[in-house]
Amino acid sequence: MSGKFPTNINPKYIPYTKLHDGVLSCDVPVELNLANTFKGKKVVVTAVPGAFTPTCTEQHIPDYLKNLAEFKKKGIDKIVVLSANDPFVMAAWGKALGYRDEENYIVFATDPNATISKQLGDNYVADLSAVGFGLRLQRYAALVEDGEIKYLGNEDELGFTEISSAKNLLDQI
Amino acid sequence: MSLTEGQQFPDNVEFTYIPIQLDDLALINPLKCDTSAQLKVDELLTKLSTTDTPNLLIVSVPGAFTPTCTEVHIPQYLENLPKLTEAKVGALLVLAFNDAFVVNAWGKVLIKEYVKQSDKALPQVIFASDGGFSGAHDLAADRGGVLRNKRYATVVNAKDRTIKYLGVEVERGVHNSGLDAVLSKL
Repeated sequence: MSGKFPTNINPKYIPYTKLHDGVLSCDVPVELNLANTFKGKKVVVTAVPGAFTPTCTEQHIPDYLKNLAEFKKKGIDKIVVLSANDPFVMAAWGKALGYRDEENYIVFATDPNATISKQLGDNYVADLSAVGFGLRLQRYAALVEDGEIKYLGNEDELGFTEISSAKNLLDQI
Repeated sequence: MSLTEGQQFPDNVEFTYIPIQLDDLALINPLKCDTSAQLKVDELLTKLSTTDTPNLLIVSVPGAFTPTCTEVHIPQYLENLPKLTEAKVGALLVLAFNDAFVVNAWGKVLIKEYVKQSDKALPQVIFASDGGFSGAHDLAADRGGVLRNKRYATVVNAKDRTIKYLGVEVERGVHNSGLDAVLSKL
């Protein structure tokens, strides 16, 4: 898939600050202006079905956190993790996973009711209403350069394979 | 239908949750995802009805990890579990709008932060996903396109299943659903 990554909806997130270092310490959500974030930059966007769920918490995001230095070396300016959870849950999850840096190189943001991911296609959302999760995001990863999608890969079964792995993303850059 | 003081607690209510053991707080790991289970409230009430702590206390919040719920509302309960036992509360059931994994992670972090290990018997503490219960009983409100639990507390006497107390918040903050309001009714 090519084209522009949607910028009509700005995901909300809570920037990490030392003042609110604790997982239980809440700050105020702000908007991540996607158009500005993408402008002239290389950004990785990766989506997960749910914060604190097994695959996302034990495999997917830890894989990215381990490779932050590699992403920087390859010229990635920012990593945006999206999920349909609210910004409070996303911020707590980011801190619990161990990302506690005021640089906020990786941000944990909310795709409100999956309205951003839905624009990528039906395969980028997953209706998990049957198990009480509501509309969630399919697991996917995108490389966005100056707003243009250079790589976009989604998983079939909400699983975590090489498609959305850090290594695959790094190979695409 | 709404819940009403003096009326019976509804039958066949179930919640999805992941059990948390209070026996050894050091073993609780918020990033360890366990398997979710079904909590059948009927079974819990039957169990409590045979004890000398027959009260089931349900505390509902709009969202895990949100400011009021995390910093004010639930901590006061967790810090005062022995007081709940004195008030004959055998189980504290915390409900939040979020899914069972998020509620479980939140519960684990809160318990590690606020519960003190004690030799005394403490109420069973359960963090569960609301799963539409509050909405079905007129105890939810639209928040940005999704129906989230209202903030409320209710006490059910397991011996006769009557609702002894229902305190719903009508403004921001913790008043009718807080520890003091609940304890004053028990």
